[in-house]
Amino acid sequence: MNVDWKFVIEAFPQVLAYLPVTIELTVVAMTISLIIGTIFAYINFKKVKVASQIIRTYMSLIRGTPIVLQIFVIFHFGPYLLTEMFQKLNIQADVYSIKPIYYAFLALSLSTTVSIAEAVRAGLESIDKGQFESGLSVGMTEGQVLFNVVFPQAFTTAWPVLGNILVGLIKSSSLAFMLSVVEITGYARILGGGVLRYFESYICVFFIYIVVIKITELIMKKLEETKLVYRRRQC
Amino acid sequence: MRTINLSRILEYFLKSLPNLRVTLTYVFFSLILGFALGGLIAKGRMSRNKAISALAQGYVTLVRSTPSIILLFLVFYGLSAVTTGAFNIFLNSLPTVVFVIITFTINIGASSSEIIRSAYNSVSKGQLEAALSVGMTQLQAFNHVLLPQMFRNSIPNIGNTIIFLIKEGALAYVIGLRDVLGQAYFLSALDMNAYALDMCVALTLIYWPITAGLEKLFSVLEKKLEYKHVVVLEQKT
Repeated sequence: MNVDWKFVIEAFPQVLAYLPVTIELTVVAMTISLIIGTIFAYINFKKVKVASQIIRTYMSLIRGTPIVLQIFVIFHFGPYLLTEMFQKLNIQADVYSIKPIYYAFLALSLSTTVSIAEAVRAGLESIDKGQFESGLSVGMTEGQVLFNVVFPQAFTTAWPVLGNILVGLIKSSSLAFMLSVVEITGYARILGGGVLRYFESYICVFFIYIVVIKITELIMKKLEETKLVYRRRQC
Repeated sequence: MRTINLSRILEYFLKSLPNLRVTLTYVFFSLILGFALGGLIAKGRMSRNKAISALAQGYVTLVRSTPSIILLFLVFYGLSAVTTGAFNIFLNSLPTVVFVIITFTINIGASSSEIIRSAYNSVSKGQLEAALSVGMTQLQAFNHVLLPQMFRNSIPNIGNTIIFLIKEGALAYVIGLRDVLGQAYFLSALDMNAYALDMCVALTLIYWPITAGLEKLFSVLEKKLEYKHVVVLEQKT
């Protein structure tokens, strides 16, 4: 079997048409993980008694298991758990009408949350304790101190790591095909399977990922430069 | 209500655990070959020749922005297509684990080149010059002065790479590799996935202790070796 380059050219626009699904997966999972990860980081940073223990165990569990295994658990256990819950709460809804992409959001955010929690916690720890105290002493509430003083600095410190996490997330979004979500990898699998030209269709996916990730990295770098300027002015 | 059955978990656990040797096989070979390739690429990136340096840089960028699963598919489907077309060599009889090792060698080659480069930069240049000035050859200086320090500095990164390999290698079940996860998935499929939850619990019980243990081991190792380093410095001054 030779490599059929004509098929690659034919397949490329078809695969590219599913890029919005990949982007949707990435954006939604990143938003969920940013919110939950920041909350986790803050709880861990404050060392809240029981909650931080639970979160640390969760983080160790997620970091210690392959992402494939997490996807298995969601794939086999998610619908079943939802059915039970709907029965208990007396909700009349068909579990199997839920689109698989929602399960994929969950699967991708599980592991991304953990990495974000770690990155943000490192950012929080880089800030001087005195800033909290001085913020409180000029009469700000704790929420005001957090959102106006602490988080802007913590996220500036964590920014490069967050960029790496985003790139990692784009890469892991290719695993959503295991949950039968049709994004670029999933479509390439279908397309290649139909005519037994797996290699040619995956080549298209390969090129798309390279371009998408290069663009993401450039955007993150540009944003970092503007952010660093902001930090310099602040000093 | 579906319940978790302890004896079934134990059955999955005991039946998949022997396949840990498949996991360890590809971890071992990919690590060694990957770091060898990474050394070459790191050397290429630090080369004065602009073309070689650009080539190495391009390789790292390309591999780092490819998901492992796509790389796995490309190697699995592409390698045999290319060799059959170009050299008329059929690779169909090769064991699956070889494709997994090739994939992760390519993958680790890119990430380890960064590890090696940062380890090289962490050792001060004066040491190399001092070693050369006492009459060591370039190779001797590298082997006896730079390499031990580079190894010590990159221990946390090596640990992370091993853990990454154990976890990411589980993906290889999609091309039919029977490592721990592949074997458990196969067994679960024999039962029509009726007891998939028990399989997942058994797999968690295998993977979690291994990766958490390795993490602990490498952090202890790092501290032990760091201590020695400090003592040597103190004696000198």
